Amino acid sequence: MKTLVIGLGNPILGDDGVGWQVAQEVERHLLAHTSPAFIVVECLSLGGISLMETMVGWQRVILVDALDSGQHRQGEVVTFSLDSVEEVAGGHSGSVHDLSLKNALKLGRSLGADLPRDEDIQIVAIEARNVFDFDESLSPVIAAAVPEAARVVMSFL
Amino acid sequence: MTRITIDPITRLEGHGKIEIFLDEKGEVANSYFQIPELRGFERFCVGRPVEEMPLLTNRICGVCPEAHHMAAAKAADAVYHVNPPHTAKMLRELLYSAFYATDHTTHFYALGGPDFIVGPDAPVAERNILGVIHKVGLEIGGKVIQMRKFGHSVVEMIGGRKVHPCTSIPGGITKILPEHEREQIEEMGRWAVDFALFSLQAFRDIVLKNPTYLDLILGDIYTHKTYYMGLVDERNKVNFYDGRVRVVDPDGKEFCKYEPKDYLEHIAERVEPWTYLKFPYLKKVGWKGFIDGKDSGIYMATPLSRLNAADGMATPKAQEAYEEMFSTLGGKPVHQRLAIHWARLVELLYATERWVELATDPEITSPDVHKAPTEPPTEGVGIVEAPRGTLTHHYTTDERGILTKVNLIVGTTNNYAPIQMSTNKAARSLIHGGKATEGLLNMVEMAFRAYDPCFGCATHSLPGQMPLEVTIYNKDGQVVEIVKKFC
Repeated sequence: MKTLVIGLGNPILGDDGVGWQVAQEVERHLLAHTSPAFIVVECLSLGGISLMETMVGWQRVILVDALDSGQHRQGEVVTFSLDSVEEVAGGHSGSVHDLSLKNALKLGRSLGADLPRDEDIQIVAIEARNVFDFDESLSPVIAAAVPEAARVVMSFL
Repeated sequence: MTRITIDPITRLEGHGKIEIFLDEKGEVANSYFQIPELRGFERFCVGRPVEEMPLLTNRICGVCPEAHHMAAAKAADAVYHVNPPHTAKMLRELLYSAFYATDHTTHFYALGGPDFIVGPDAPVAERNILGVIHKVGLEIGGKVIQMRKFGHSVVEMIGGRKVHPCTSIPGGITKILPEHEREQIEEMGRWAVDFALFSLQAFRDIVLKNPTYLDLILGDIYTHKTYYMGLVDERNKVNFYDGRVRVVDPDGKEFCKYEPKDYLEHIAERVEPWTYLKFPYLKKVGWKGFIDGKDSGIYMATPLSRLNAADGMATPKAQEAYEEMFSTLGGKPVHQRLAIHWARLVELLYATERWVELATDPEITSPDVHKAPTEPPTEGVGIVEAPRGTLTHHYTTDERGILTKVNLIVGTTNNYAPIQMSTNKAARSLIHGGKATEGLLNMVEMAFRAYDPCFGCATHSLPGQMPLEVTIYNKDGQVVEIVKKFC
């Protein structure tokens, strides 16, 4: 299955950079081993419509990102698919400048774009709190979760 | 006293919210709009080489990285006392024009448009771009996506990668534009001009022909008389990339015009105890509080401000659209804040025309795109017009080019005082007898949405939604109602 792995986040905003580090770990692993065809790994700082646009033409997407839910211990790796995410944002949001990813995907599909189904968008999230302060490094508890999160991503490939 | 809070409670917890205080009669006593602040960025930059700034600053914001890339590149040019070759400046401006077209398109259709096209009272689930498409047809949606695709392509061709460009360095740019890419850029630009014209026509048909919307735009609720700021070229025409900063007074007369390096002579910042962010104001007028008028140093820096501050647009079709807007709205300057949406479309047309103009300039493919700095670095200021307002980067370095001081005034910050005034006025006008329905609160939100304030900066962590929580307190401070809504 043609799969895109996206490390999502901002590499200069502390633990928000964890998605990139996990994606880079996955890429290192793929390069070191014989990997299935049609897997591409990317690191992006995007959301909403822009993120949807990167998914055009892919059958399956694995998103790796920091999660600030307050419902898990920091560093805990949580997985769910996009279809299980409740669409609470009726309107513009994501940021005030954009749509939520789910709405962006709806928009794309309504315009005929070849996009993966919500159930084929798997999210691997790492619970984190320090996602607001400028820092290029991860907190120790988040850095320690990178190998596990990478293993979880690999298990989906 | 009753207290209403409109609070984005995810990423921006404790920041970015509107608090509305009601008196015993349920009338608005006052309101406070708090914008989130990115903490510690300037300190984070100190100790780094200045040439890293165009790459680093474009990570500040997930919305306008191209604007920070350009302001940083210009500030770095100034730090090294180097004037980039003409072609380098044109390539930067071409990239920037394509970015502007993309950003203004997205704002109009995905954010501002729903208020007008679907209507301010429409259910929240319909008041988005999907609702817009439902109302006006799939064709528009397809064009919006196409416009974005073309804009991203130009940014990638000139900037080296999509969204987060990396080619501007002190003294110019690292990539020559090959002829085959120039041809593609020209072709995309011509399509973009048609799209901008189409968007203006849609605005005329859907908004201007609807008396309710026109009343809303022209109404007093969304009107403030302030100073206006924008970059202008040597003929006082709007320019996004370069020029001098011009400020006009509430009567539209030039108040001052200054070089970027002199910004500190003209701009000061006011600190208020209830928010982290400072309020910039015109130093030579002074801070008089959150009030309108010539004696108050509050200024606005938005698409409408740029049009108010300039004598016109530098391209022919945009000039026509500029004249149409001002004649329809009763001449210059226009004080009605909701006209920012219209001004944005005039700028969209200018950006696309400028895109074609630059793409067809014979010098755009010249290999002369970089001039190596020869003088020791010291200090420099770079100013561009970001889509949301005048963006200033000011760097000081040691003799090795290592940053010792960084100061940024970002687009939204300029507008902090006007946004505060607008939300306050809208709340006072719309909320009476303690009643705050979703429709009314949306109309309060419309007051700040027109400015397109940058909330969503920098972080993309999940869940990435932006719920607003409205909490109503009675005069004894007890919670009587909590309404959660999503914008």
